[in-house]
Amino acid sequence: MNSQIMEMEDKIKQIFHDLFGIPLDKINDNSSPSNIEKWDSLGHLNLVMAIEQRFQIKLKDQDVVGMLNFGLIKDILKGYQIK
Amino acid sequence: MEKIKELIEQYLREKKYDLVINSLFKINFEDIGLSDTHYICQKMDEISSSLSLLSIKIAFLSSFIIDPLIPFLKLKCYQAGLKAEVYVGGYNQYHQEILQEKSPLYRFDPEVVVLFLRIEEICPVLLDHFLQISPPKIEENINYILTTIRQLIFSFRKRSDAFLIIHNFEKPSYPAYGIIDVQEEYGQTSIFKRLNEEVVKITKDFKNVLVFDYDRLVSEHGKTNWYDPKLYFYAKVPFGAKSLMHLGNGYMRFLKPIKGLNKKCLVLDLDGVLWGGIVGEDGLKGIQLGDSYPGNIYKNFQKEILKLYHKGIILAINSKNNMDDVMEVFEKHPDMVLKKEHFASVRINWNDKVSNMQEIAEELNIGLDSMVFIDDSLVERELIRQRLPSVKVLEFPEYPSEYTRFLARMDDFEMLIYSEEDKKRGEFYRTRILTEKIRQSTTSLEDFYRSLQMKANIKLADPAVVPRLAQMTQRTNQFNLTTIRYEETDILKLMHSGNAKIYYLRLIDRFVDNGVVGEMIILDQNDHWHIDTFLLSCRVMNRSVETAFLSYVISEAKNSHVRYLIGKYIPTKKNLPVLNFYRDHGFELIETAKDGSTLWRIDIERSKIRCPEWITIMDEQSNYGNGR
Repeated sequence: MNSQIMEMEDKIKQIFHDLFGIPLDKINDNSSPSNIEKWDSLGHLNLVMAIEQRFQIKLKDQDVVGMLNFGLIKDILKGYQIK
Repeated sequence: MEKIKELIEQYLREKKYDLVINSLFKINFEDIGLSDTHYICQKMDEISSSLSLLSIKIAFLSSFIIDPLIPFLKLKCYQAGLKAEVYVGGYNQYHQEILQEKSPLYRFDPEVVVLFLRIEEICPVLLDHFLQISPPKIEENINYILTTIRQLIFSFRKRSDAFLIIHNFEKPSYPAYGIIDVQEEYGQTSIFKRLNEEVVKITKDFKNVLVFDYDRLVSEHGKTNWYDPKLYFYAKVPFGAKSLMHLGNGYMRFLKPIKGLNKKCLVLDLDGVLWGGIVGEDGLKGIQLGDSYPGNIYKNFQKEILKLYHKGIILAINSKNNMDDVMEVFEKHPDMVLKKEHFASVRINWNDKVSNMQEIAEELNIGLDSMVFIDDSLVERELIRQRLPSVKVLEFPEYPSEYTRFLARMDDFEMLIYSEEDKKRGEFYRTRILTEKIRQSTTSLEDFYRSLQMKANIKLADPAVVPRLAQMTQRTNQFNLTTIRYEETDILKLMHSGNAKIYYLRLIDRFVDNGVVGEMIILDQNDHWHIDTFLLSCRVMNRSVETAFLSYVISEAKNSHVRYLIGKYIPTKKNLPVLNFYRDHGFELIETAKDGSTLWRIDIERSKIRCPEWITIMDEQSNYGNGR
C-alpha cells in the first residue's frame, strides 16, 4: 500500500519535472504556483490533462480547482482507483 | 515510451544530436502523452541550434486558447526536420492582428498563418438560440460570418504573402431539430454545411489560402472524444490531451508540402506486405491474398497503395525474393490489385536492401530523402534506418489489418495542388518500361534507336545546373569512367578556374524528357584536353548517347585547335560496363598503371567518331555564368 503511494508520488513528480522543468529533488508538498514559475493558468491546464492521462482517470469537476499544491494533488489522487 | 526517453537522454549526454532526431521516429504518436511531449520538446529546443534544421515560422490566430497545442506541433516539426518558431496571437485578437498594419503578427513575419475560428465564439447565436431565430435572421448571421472572413482574408493578403490556413467549422454533434434536422431547410445541419461550402468559395478568390477541414478531422476521431467538457468550461479549450496530437498531425499535412518535405516515392517489401505469407515457400496458391479473411486485408492494402499511385506517388519494390516466384504472382494471381506496370523501379534479388535502395533512388533520379520504406521485418527496417537515415522508414503496425488505415493516416504524401503532371507521373515511369518493350519488339538495335527519336541537348554548365552535376558525380557508378566525386563547391571552382570545360547533356526522346543525364568535365591542357570525368545516368545507358556526346566534344576540341583528347579509365566494382569504352571508340592505350587504371589518347584529326544518325544534337549555348 505504502509503496503504491510512493510510486504515485514519483509519477506526479515526473510530470512536474516534464511540464515545469524542475529537478525531481526540488519538488515537495508545498510546491505551488507561487514558487513554480511555469505553473500558471496554462500550466495548470496542462497539469490536469497530464495527470488524467498518466493515471488513466477522469478528475471530478471540483478537483480541477482543488489542486493548489503538490501535497493537495497527492491527497486528491489517493481518492481515485489508480493504475 | 520510457525506453525512447532513455535513448534520447543517452544521445543527449553523448551529444549525438543527429541520432536524437532519428529516435524521434520511433515515437508512436498515438501513444505519446502530454508530459512526455513537453519534456522531449523542451530538450529539442535546447539542442536545436546545434542541429541543421529547416526553420518555419507559424502564427496562430484563434477565437479561443490554442496554446496547449504548441509543444505537440513543435515536436511533430522536429520529427520532420523542421524547427518551428511559433507566434500565438492574443486570445480573440485576430481582428486587431490582421487589420493593423504593424501588429505583432506582421512584425513576426510568418510563413504560415493559421486562422482558427469557432462558431461558439464568433457567432454563438447560431448554436445557443438557433430555434428562436427566424430564417432571415439566420441568413443575416451567415452573411455576417462570411463577410467577416472575406474581410479578414482580404486585409491579410494585402499585408502578407504568407500561406493562410483557415479552419472550417465543426458541425454540431446534436443538431437543433434532432433527427429531423438533417431534412430541415433551415436546420443546423444544412446551415453548417452551407457555411463551410461558402468559406471554400471565398478562399478561391485569393492566392495561397488553404482550408483546413477541421470538421473532418474531428469526425475522424469522434466528436465525443475530441474534447473534455470539464476542460472546455474550465479554460475554453475545445480539445482534450489526445486531440492535441491529432491536431498537430493535421497541420503537418500542410506544413510538409509547403516546405517541400512531402515524399515522392513509396518503396515496398513484398512478403507480409502486399500479401500474407512467403511466396518462395508457400507458392502462388499458398499466399494470403483474396476476398476472404485474411487475404482481403492485403488486397485492401494494395487498393490503398494504388490510390497513392494515382495521386502521383512513385511506387517501387525492394524485396528479397526469387524474381520468377514474384513474377508468377504478378502475372497469374487473380487478386493482385497492383500490376507490374505500377512500379517504376523494381529490385527483387538477394542483395542487401541498402544497396537496392540506393539503386532505386539512382534509377528514379530522386533523393533518398524523398523515399518512404515499408517492410514487415524489424531487422530490415533497422538496417535501412541506420545506414540510410534520410529514408523515412515506417514503424509499421504489428497487425496487417491495421496497414490500410496506417497508410491513409500518413502525412507525408500530401500535395497543395493536384496537377496534370501528378496524374501522369505513373505513366511517365511506365513509358520507360515501354521503351524496354520496344527494344524487345524491334528487329535491330538501330531500328530501336531510331524509334526513340532522341534529341541530345548539350551545353556548357551554368550555375543553375551545378547541383545536378555534383549529384551525378556522387551517384553515378556504372557509366562512370573515373568515378571522381564532386561537391557543388568543387564544380563551381572548376567552372571559374578558367581551364576546365564542363559539358552536360539533356536527353529528350519520343516518350519523355529524361532531364540532365550526361556530364563531361574537360581539363584544358594546351595541346590536349583531358577527360577528367565522363558519366551517363544508367537510365539512358545502351542507347549510344555516349557516342553522340563524345563526337560533340571532339568537334569542340577541333574548333579549339586541340591536338589530342586524353581519357582515363579507373576501374571500380561497378564500372565494368565501360571497361572498353575508349578502345571501342578508337582511342589508343598509352599507359597502364599498377592499380589497373588505363590512359587513352586519340588524335583529333584522325578521329572517326561520328554522331549516330538517330540522335539529333542541339547545342544552343547558354551564356556561361549567366544563370539560365
